[in-house]
Amino acid sequence: MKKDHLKGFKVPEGYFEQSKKRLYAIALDKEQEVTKPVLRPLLRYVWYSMAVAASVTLVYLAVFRQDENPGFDEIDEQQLVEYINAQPQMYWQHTLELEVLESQVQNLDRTPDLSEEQIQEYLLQQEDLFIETLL
Amino acid sequence: MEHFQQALYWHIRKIVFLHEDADDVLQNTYIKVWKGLVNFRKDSKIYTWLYRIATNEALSFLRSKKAMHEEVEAALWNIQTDPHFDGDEVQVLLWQGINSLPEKQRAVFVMKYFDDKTYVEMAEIMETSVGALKASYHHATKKIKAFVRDKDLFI
Repeated sequence: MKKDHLKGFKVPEGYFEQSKKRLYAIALDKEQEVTKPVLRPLLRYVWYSMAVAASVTLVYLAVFRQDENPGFDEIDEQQLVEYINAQPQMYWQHTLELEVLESQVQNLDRTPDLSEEQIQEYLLQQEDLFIETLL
Repeated sequence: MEHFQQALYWHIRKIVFLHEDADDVLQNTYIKVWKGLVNFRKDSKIYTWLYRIATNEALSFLRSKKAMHEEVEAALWNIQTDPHFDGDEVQVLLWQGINSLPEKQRAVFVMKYFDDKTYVEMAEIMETSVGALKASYHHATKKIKAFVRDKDLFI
């Protein structure tokens, strides 16, 4: 009995061949799992922390900052008028500054015409000054 | 691993008995082996390590199967209708007797009785003491003899 204890046992035809292929597939699969690069614990911690921080920042920007600093195209004309009306002081201040500039330009126009002699005399004076600076 | 495939299969089959079960347990054994290969201690024999995993897998399979089928009779009925077993009456009776043993005693009995393993080898595989194994084998043989006697047959 002891010698032929496996006599009554059978396996399906070609079982061991098929089994070998399946077990080889398992081995291959597990080998790939094992050879996957493993991040060191500290590096993994830093990596996760950075990923979480970036995600939080993105969510904050997307949710809380979306109404701030809109593009010029996004400003409605009506909103712009309302804004200017709401701050009349600032508007008039800017207008006054513009008027000053315009008056200066007009003064330039009013400068009397210089004669050719006057211009040449002026340039000669400047030439002397220029040579002095070179020396 | 290929070298051990058949040896492991037959070792498992003698514990779980049914071919389909043995096939499942062999697959689980291979998965465990490849998962644990990184942590395999070079000082222990690969043969012992593989048999330990296979034995543990077979025993835990039997425990979970027993939990599902509380009646031992259900398992015995499976053996008799197993298409992958064509043993004679004496063989059926012996394997029924082995199948009636508690899982650990069954594993100890097949390793000692059929595979002629030494108690030291078995102690390494099952991670237990030689004394406990001797006692286990003694109880197993007594139970099988009683089982066969009850059926009015002798080995």
